[in-house]
Formats: sequence, structure tokens, C-alpha cells
Amino acid sequence: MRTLDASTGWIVLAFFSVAWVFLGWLWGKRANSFDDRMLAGRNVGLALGMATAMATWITSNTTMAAPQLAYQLGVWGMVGYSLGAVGLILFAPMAERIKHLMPNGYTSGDFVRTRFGRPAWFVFLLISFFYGLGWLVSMGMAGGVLLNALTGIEYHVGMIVITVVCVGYTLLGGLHAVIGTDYIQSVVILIGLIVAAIAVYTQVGIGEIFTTLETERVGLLDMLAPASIMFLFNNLLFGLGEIFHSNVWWSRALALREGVGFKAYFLAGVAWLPVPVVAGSIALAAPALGLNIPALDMVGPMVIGNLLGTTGAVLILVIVFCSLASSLDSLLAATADLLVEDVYRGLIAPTASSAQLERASRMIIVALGVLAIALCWGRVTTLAEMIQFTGAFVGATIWPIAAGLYWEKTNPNGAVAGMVLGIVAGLTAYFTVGFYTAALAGAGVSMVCVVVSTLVAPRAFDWSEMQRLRAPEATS
Amino acid sequence: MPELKLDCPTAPNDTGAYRIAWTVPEGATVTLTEDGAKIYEGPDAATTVSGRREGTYEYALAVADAKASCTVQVAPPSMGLTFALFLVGFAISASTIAFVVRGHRQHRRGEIG
Repeated sequence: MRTLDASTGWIVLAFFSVAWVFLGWLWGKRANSFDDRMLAGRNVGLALGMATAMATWITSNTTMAAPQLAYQLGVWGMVGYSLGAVGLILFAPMAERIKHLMPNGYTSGDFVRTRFGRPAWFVFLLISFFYGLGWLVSMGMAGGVLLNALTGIEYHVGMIVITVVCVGYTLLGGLHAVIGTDYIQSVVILIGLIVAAIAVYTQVGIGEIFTTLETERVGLLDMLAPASIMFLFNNLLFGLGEIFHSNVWWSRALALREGVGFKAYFLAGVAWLPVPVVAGSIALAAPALGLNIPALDMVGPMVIGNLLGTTGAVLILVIVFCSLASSLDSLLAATADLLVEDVYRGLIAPTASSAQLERASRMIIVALGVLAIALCWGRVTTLAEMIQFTGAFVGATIWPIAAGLYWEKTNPNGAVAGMVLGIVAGLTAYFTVGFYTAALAGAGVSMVCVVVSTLVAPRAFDWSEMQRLRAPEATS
Repeated sequence: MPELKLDCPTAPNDTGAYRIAWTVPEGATVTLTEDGAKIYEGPDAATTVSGRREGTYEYALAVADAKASCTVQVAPPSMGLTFALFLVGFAISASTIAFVVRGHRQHRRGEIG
């Protein structure tokens, strides 16, 4: 498959790269303090809040792995993927609670350290860092794979360019730039997906797609396919785990203006719900088109490229570049925040000034970019497999976080045991049953640990301790 | 005569979706059949099969006079395990949702700190 020449690919890439970096520089000028840079002044409104949540959740995973899962697991694959919206919707009340509990906090790590103590904090940081790297690698790989397939630009070159552009504008603009570009990117992604879906259903037709699947790939329509059935709730729990623990979502909850968090996350979840179904259904047209799909993760781009030719190839390049950028920038900023606040300020330099923290943040963003490039260098697995592997880790964080926010007597040791044993159970399920059970097993074991330990040995907690979290100027 | 190499998954496949790859001289047109029915003809070096139900599938690759073959076994998890995990997944998801909704109500009513 190659429907664009390399020079067209470079032009599209250059246009969007310059636009994002310019906007990053422009919006970065608004950041006059550490709070401004990390949390956009804690004053983000509803429209930007909703758009940044939705755009960040529409990752390259959604636009490329949703078609892959539809092609692999059938109708349940795309429906199961869309259950990821439950994560955003259920985080809506949690965003309100987070803002209420720690109005001056910075990261999810701040919460876990204050709520459960250092052992839980260390385990949580390891999970967050591992998950963050997994997500970074999956997106870096997606960028390289896509550019190579559409334009012939060499995998390593494409992967490096996309990562460097995102590092560049995140460095320049902080969370202001991330949220601002997310708004534009969400509009571009939605328009692109609607155009692609209209092209598929007007040129191929739902009847022809169904008839071909029924004769050639009947398993994709099977409502009782075991792997697909197991995937449904696994993916729902995977989404909950990703969102509940990740600082990407906590930093937005803290950056949103008072009273906005609930509405922004709820509306973003509802708006996101149909996106994987639209993206996934595109893949189901591949058999009707007689397309040979050499690699599972390229099925979406190949169908659109086949139907719309050069226009389709440009369209998919723009859609995936925007979805990559909107997630990569968020992840770089949020992971850097977590490392600066929790590791640098928390362990190395507790009295660091705002200027020192900003310097550290910039260095960490660059280091994360370099690390992502290094880990993406060998294309070791498919996107969906890479993502689902982290399910064992994030599933184990659901109950420690939810109980920590709402259950005063949650036992901190139970939270640690829940995370550690949940990971062990998730990985065991991943390797012995299948990728579609990792998050489910992790969440289940973690839930039992947290609930049983708290019922057996409840521990009181003073919620007002959360209010003591302060900006660096106040503590240095 | 060109040398053919056909790579199929060796372990039983549990999803009914898998990749079959082959190595042939560059530019050669190959024909791939599944249980005797043609599923691909062209110059690509791999294909992905999906939507296959439980069973054993035989693949044969032909280029000019050369041939290679392999078999793939599709063996999904048992329905007992499937529904057990489905119910467990439902129970964990419903409990989590109920817990957060209950906590949110308590938060709004000022019953928790």
C-alpha cells in the first residue's frame, strides 16, 4: 500500500508540524508561573476542557487499533472498544472530587502519597511510568508505521519527526499549548472520521459489507465468539484503569475551573462513545473491497486509502497525525509533571524553586522524547498487543484510586497489596488465557484486596490532609 | 525453481484472527489457498485472516511450479470459561460503577470530607 509520494507526505507533515510548534510558542507566552505551565493557571473552561479530554482519549490507538480490533474480533471488537467511554464518563464525578479534595495539588502521585503513604506511592509511580512508556511507545510506533505505509517515508524517520514535533511544542507551551492544540485537533479528527465513514458506506454499502462478512468471515459477526465476549468487560475495565490512575486525566481535573470538571468529562465521554464504532466499522469493509491486509494495524488506513485514493491517504495522515499529537503531547506533559512533582520535588529536591522545577520539567520532557524514540526503534509488536499488555498494570489501580477518593477507611496496605497482586494476576491471565483478560484479572484481584483489607482492618483518614498540598513557592 | 517459505502460527489460535507470511523471490505473484479455496493472489508477502471459527485450516502457497503448505488450528477458549469471565467482568464493572456513583452522591450531600 502506498498512495502518497514521500514529498506530499513531507508537505502535510511540515504544515502541521509548523502549525503546532507555532501555536505552542504563542500559547506558551501566557504561562507566567509554575502553576500556569503545569496546570494552565487552573482556569480552563468547559469547551476547552471537554475538547482536550476527548482529543486525548482519541489516540492513535483509537484511530488505528479500533479498526484492528474490529477486523480481529468483529462487531464485539468495536463495541467493546467504545466501552472505553465509560472511563471518561465515570471520571466525571471523580474530577469534581479531586478538585474538591486537593485544590492546590499537582499530580495523581500527590494524592496517592498523601492518602496511602510512601510504599503505595512507589508502586503507583512504577505503574504510572510503565504505562506512560507503553502509551508513548505505541504512539511513536503508530506514527512511524503510518508514515511508512502511506508515503514510503522510512519508519524510523517518521517516528522521530512526529515525536520531536510533539516534544517541541510541549516544551514551548506547557499545558496551555497542549489543551489549545487538543481543541483544534479534536475538531479535525471528528470531521476526518465522518468523511471517511461516509465514503465507506456510500461507496461500499452496508448490505455488501454484511453479505461478504457472512460468506467469508462469519466469525466477525458471531455474537458468541469467546474471545470477543471476554474482550467486552476487559476493555471497559482497561479504560477505567487507564483514566483513573493516569496523571494525564488528573492534571486536567486540576486544571479545570471550579465546577467544570464533571460536565467536561461527562460530555467528552458521551461524544467519544461512537468514535471507535465509526473508526472500527471502516475496517469491516476490507473483505467487501477484496483488500489484502498484510498487517492487522494497517487495516483502517488501507481501506480509506483504497476508497479515496490520494485524498483518502492525506485524510488518514491528517487524522492520525492529529490523534497522535493530541495524545503524545498530553502524555509528555503529564508524565513530566509526575516525575518533576513526585520524583524530583518529592525525593530529590523538596525545596526546589519554581524556576528549578520548570527547568527540570523541560529536561524531563526532552528525556522522555529520547527514551520513546529509543524504545520505538525496533518495531517489536502490534499496537493492540502493546496496549493490552499494560492492561494488567492499570486494571490493578482502579480500586485503590476509587476507594482512596470515596472511602474514608480504606486500608493503605490493602491498596499496596491490591496493586501488586493485581499486576501478578493480570500478567498471569495475559500469558495463560489471552490479552483480552489482563485488565479484568488485575481489577478483580485488586478489588478483593482493597475491600477485604478495609472491612477487616479499617484505617481512619483525615481528608483535610489533602488541603496541605501547596505550590512550590509556599514550601520552599 | 524459486524457494518458498510459508510461516503460519504454530500455537493454536484463540481469536480466529492470525497472520500468514511468506518469502518468495521479489516481484513473484503468489496464490494462497485455504482448504482449497483461493483467498489471495498477488505480490504481497503476507496476509491476515480473521473471522475463523473453531477448526483446522490448511493453507497452500503456490508460485509457478513451487508449493508450500501449513496448517493453523483455531481453538477458542471453552464457553464455560468464557461466560464465567464474562460474569466476573460484569460484576467487577457494575461494582466499580455503583461504588463511584454512591461515593459521588455522598460527596454532593457533604457526607464525606
